[in-house]
Amino acid sequence: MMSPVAECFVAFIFGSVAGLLMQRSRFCNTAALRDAIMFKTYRNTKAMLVAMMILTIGFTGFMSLGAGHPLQFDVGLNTFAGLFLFGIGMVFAGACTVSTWVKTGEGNLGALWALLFTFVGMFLFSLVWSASWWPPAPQTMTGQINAPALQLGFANAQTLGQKFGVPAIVFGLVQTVVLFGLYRAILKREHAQRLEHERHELEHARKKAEKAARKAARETAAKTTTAATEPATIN
Amino acid sequence: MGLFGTKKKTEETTSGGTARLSDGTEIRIARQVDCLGVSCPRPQLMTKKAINEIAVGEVIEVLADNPSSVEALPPMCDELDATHLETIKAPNCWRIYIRKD
Repeated sequence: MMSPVAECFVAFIFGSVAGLLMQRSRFCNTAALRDAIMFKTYRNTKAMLVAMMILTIGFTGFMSLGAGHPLQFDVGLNTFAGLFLFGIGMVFAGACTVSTWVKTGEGNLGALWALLFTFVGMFLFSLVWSASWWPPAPQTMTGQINAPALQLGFANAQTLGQKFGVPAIVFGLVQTVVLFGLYRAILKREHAQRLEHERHELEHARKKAEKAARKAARETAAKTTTAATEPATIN
Repeated sequence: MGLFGTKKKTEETTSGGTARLSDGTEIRIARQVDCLGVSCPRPQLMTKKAINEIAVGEVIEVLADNPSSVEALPPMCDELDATHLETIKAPNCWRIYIRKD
């Protein structure tokens, strides 16, 4: 076992390397979702999907081997409501937690405010998370399916594996296939966008050439008429 | 302190002027979009707005100093029916030239 100081040191090194990679690669979860919807660009979306595929295989692989300490938390209506609110806040702040740290490090004061209020939000969340602080928690968050409380229990691959006797990696592979399908759909869409734009560009060039040809024809016509009338005026 | 941000510039776009691309062609700028000091996704939104307002064949010049926006602008052009001509590195910003098709 490592001493707490060594653990902190390892966490610091890991965090710094991750932060450096985030900043240099301009990876942004907010942009991954926002740009896909607002601007129909998918650079970050593709990166996020690849990261999700790797993580899915990795996590479910570890779970199947029985290694690691997977985080257990109840999934229910509260999860969906909370994630929706987080999504709204993240687009308003222009960054999720990842990019908030990166932007604050770059000296963005708006991001510093977002980061400060992330801490406030995290503190409030810690109160709700704790069963002793949130009275209904022991009744609803039991890790079991609880329909009246709109709870699905520990809805993760490990629980599903234990319930159905199938290794977690099977669920992980299914999810990875779905994610890969999304990735393929994005590539297809990008290809269609490029073709459409090329078609418009060609059309524009054709119209421009036609216009120039018409203008040239008019000019030569004017020249020939003057050439035809010139001898007459000389005579 | 500046912790609460500074006053927004009133004029975001100006028009006129010409620019020279690296291949030597001279282009007339229909409009300049000033995105200095503005972060994601405002430069993209301002560019989108400007492209929608100019005529086909005209060129806009976007001044941006936010690296992620500079990277995000060229891929946006296909969807907006525009062509990214060039991104030129200036002393304190990038100058991005986009033509509407």
